[in-house]
Formats: sequence, structure tokens, C-alpha cells
Amino acid sequence: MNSIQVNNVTKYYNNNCVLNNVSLKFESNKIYGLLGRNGVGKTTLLNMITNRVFPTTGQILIGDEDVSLSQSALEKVYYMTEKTLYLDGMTINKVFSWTKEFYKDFDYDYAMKLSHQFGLDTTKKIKSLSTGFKTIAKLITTLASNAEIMIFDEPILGLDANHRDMFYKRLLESYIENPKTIILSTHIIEEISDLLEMVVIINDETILMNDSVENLLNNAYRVSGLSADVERFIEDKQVINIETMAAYKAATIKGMASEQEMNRILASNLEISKVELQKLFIYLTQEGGKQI
Amino acid sequence: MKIDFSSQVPIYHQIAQSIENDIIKGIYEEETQVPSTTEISLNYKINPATVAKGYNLLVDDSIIYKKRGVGMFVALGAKKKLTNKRKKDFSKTYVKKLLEEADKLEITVEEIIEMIKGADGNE
Amino acid sequence: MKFLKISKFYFFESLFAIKIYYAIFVSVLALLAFSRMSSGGNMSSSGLEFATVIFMFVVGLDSFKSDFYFSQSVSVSRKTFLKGVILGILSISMLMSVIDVILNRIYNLFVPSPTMFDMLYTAYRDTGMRDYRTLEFIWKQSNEIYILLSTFTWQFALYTFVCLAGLLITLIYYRSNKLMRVVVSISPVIFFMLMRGLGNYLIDFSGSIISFMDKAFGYSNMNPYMAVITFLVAGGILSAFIYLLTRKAEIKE
Repeated sequence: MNSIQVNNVTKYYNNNCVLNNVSLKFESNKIYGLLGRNGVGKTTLLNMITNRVFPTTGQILIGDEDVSLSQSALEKVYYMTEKTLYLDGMTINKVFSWTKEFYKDFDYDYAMKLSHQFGLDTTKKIKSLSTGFKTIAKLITTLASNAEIMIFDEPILGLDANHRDMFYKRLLESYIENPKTIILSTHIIEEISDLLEMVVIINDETILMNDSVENLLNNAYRVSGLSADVERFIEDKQVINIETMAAYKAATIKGMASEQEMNRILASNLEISKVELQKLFIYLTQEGGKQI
Repeated sequence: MKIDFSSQVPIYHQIAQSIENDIIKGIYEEETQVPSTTEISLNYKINPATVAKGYNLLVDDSIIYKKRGVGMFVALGAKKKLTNKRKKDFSKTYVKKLLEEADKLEITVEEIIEMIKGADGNE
Repeated sequence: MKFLKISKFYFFESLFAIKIYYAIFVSVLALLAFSRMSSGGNMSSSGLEFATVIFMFVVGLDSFKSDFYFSQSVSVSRKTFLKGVILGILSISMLMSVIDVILNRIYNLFVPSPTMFDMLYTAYRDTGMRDYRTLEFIWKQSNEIYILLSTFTWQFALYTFVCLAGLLITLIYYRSNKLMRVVVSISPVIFFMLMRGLGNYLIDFSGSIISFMDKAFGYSNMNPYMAVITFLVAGGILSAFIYLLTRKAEIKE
């Protein structure tokens, strides 16, 4: 019952269309990556899911309850926003204790334990923290909320490599112990791609893709080698991207290579490789990017 | 256990393969425990569903089995089974590639045999 | 009950400002009392709680955005948020009204100082502070239970109304776009200009307006509870507008 269903949602800000007739489902207990370039409406979508902003038209359900009507649907979600919505002058201890007032499953001891691990001084006020520690404070609050649905908007903003690593581990730990729906909204994909089970890509006001990472990656491959050879190979293929360096060419092709194609590739001295999620994302969302 | 995130081989496949390798090498003896999916997931920061998929391949092949409430264990006869399978694949995965590369470099079969003998002797 | 928690939050977040306010207020009272004692003068003051009225207005003005954002971050619905805030405002008004009555009674031990309530609804209206011939202080503050209770109730209703008015103004600003904000900002000026222009025509009405106000605030018949009802009804109307504006309020990023 912790799935999220978005039905025909359109959102205008003043007269600018941000999302146009979007429908998708975030299935229960899976880790999603919500990807999109800056300003494509990722945050707007998440704000609508949590009823902080209203769709111009359309409807959003959590479980089977309309978020605009049901307090209990909203309470299932903890949404970590990029902007801190708590009062700036609050200490982290206060943030934890107030969150506990509203999230009955909030685990105060766990929050303190994580703060210790991350080196967060909980007696400090939010406004006195650096960007990285602000993010950490928000991450810890979210993880300790024990909400059935956790949404993270830009969860690694300002974090160093150690802190990122710790966050990924604590997130997976929490997910394994208590399966929940997790949405990670970011444009930094490389590090999180193996954490994800599902990917939603937003581009040009619509959902470009909502599929498993595996399907997405299986649905594209890269062939490289001598320009002429590559050219010949891709003649009848759907090409997503081409890179050329002198006589070398690398083409990213839509679909799965058949046995016959594999043989052709090997026979013509070409190399085949997988496309990384990050690269695929860039190809799909660049200006005039091609549909996959 | 080694996972190459840039490899074309899917991650779950790599997980299954490296557990297999470790069984062949004797790191995990028969009837002893292999790492839990949680351990692997946390260690390599891989989605648990992906890890489970890799383990399912091994369970389907009866290489490992689940002891309820304890964890995953190497099945009896798993090592033998794996070595046999790898032997079968040996010619396809190694010999064929070797010959292809040799063909590109115009190395004759006789020369290869000499090389193998030499390498063996050097050890 | 989530709205109780919002009230608690609202109350505790305002507490800091309230403490500072009273620290200043009490210091000023002490200073006035001290200067009267030391100079042996015949100084008096009146209606000092008006400062609290202004304070409550500012609390209302200041209390929307940060509290709304907080309530959103802990997934509280707008309805629950509003219930909590109104309950919070009621409790703050109640607290401050009690404190003001107590402070005023203590202050009167040193300096004669009628409350706004005294000036509007008690004998002070007729006698004034001093005898106009001898200039002696003739006013005596009443400490009857009825007066104390009425003062408290009347102030409580007034503070609540003023705070809600502040909240509504902030909300109107929050919900308006730039153009609307300008319109809202200059509308009082336009209103007064119109009043001046229409002054001659309005004189005909002024009589009925005055008599309406008189009844609404129970002035002639010295009935403060008419005023209490008026404040609370008006507060209810403001709350209805506040509800309408909050219902569709969005987070702005």
C-alpha cells in the first residue's frame, strides 16, 4: 500500500507548462531513481506527490487514497527537500524531537547514533551548518523517520566521498530491514545507478521512461571501431548517439544485439560494450535527443 | 569477490560468477556459509534485488541452498559440478579466443604450443 | 491529534518573542514607576496594553510562512495546520491577556494607569483621572471579580482578533502575485482618498455607522460583552477567509 500513482497530471506555473499530462506509477517497496536535467520538474512532481503543490489538472494517489484529501496518505511519506523547511534557528536536537511528534515511528536513538557516525553536532542550529552538514541533518531525519515512503531530493548535495558512502550503506540497510518505497531524485547518476532498481526519466514535460535499470541498460549497446566499419554496421539500426574521434567511431544503438549481429560485430573487428546509465541518460535528454 | 561496474556483463551475473570462483578456489567450502545478500548489497552498494537475482541463479543450479533462518550454504558436490562446467566451457571461452587473437597476430598453432610449454616450464 | 501538536509548536515558537516582549514591557513599567516614586510627581499613564495589541498584530503578520513550511515538512494537512494555528493564537491571547491584567494591577500600586477596558467600560469614562478643579487624582481602579474577568475576556477577544487580522494580511500577500501585492498595498491609500472625496455624501450615513459601531461595541450601555461577541464573530469571519486562502496555499521554491 505504499505505491504512488500519478494520473494525468498537468502542472502550470503562471503560464509555463512544467509537466504535461504525466501518468506513472511508483511501485511498492522498490528503489527509484528520478532523473532529469535541471529544471525539468522533478521537484514539482515530488511536491505534488506530497501535496505541497497542487496539480493544475489530474490526481495523485498514495496506496488508494487521494493525497489532496487524505491526511493518512500524507503521513506515509517523509520527503527530504533540497530547501530546508524547518525553522532556520532550530537546533538539530529540536528538529529530531519535533519530527518525532509528527512521525510516530521516528527513532530518536537511531537519529542520534547516525549523527554520531556522520560527525554531526546536534546542538548546532540548522543555519550554522555547512551545506554538506545541512544535507546530512536532513538525510538523518529522513532515515530515522521510518516512513513507508522516503523521498530524497538531491540527497548528496555537498557530501564528501566518505559521507556519500555512509549514506548509501545506511539507506540500503534501512531498505533491507524494512522494505519501503524510496525515490532518489538527482542529476548525479553515476554513483547511485547500482543502488536503483527502477528509473524514471523526465524530459520535455513528460515521462521519457519508467522502467527497470536492467531493461533500460539491456535496451542499448555501444559499438566502436574503425569509422567505416561502424558506419556499415549501423546503417539499418536506430542510433541514439555517435562519437567520432579521427578514424574512430563509437555508436550507441537502441535495442539488444542479436546473435547474428554479435557475430557481425566480431567478424568486422568492432567492439561491443555496455552503456552506462549516466551516459544513456545524457544521450536521451540532450537537445534533440532520441526516443528509446 | 570482485565486481567490475563498467563491464558489459550484468552485475547479477558477475555476483554469481564470483561466488562460483570462490567456491572453486576453495574460499567457501562445501556446507559452509557464503556471504548473505545483505552483506554483498551493503558492501558493494548494489540494490538487494540485483544481488538476490544473482543468488537465485546459483540456487537454481543447486550450487548453494538456503538454510531457513541461518543463511545461504554451499551445496554438497558444488565444487565438482562447477569444475566440470568450467572445463566444458574452457574450450569455448579460452581456446577459441586464443585462436582468434593468434589469427589476428598471425601466430601459428605450433608457435602457440611452444609458448604454452615455455610458460608452464617457467612456473 | 496532530492539530494539538501544531498548536504546541506554534505556542513554543512564539514563546521566545513573548518573553522578549515582556522583558521590555516590564522594564519600561519599572522605569516609569521608579521615576514617579523618585520625583514624587503626579504622573499617570493609560492604555499601556495597546503595546500588546501591536505585538499580537505583528505575531499574526509573522506567523504564516515559517510555520506553514514546517507543517508541510512533517506532512500535516492544511486543515490540521490551520486548526492548530488558530488554537495556538487563542492560547497565546489568553496567556497574554492574563499577564496584562496582572501586570496592570501591580503597576497601579505605583502609578495610576487605567487599562483600555477601564477607559471604555467603567466609571473612568465619566470621572476621568483627576478632578478638573483640584487636579487631585480621583480615579480608583476597580478590582471586582466582574471587572477583572471582563477585562481579561475583552482583551483576549481583542488580541485574538488583531492577531487573526495580521495573519490574514500576510496570507493575502503570500497568495498574491506581484501585481496583486501592489494593489493590496496601495488599496488603503485609495480607500482613504475615496472616503475624503465622498465625505460629503457619507455624512448622511455617518450617523447610522456610528450608532452601529456603538451597538457593536456596547459603548453606550457599557456592555463589554457586545464587543467580545463582535471581536469573536469578526475573528470567525477572518478565519473563514484565512481558511479559503490556506486551502490552496503552495510551497514556493
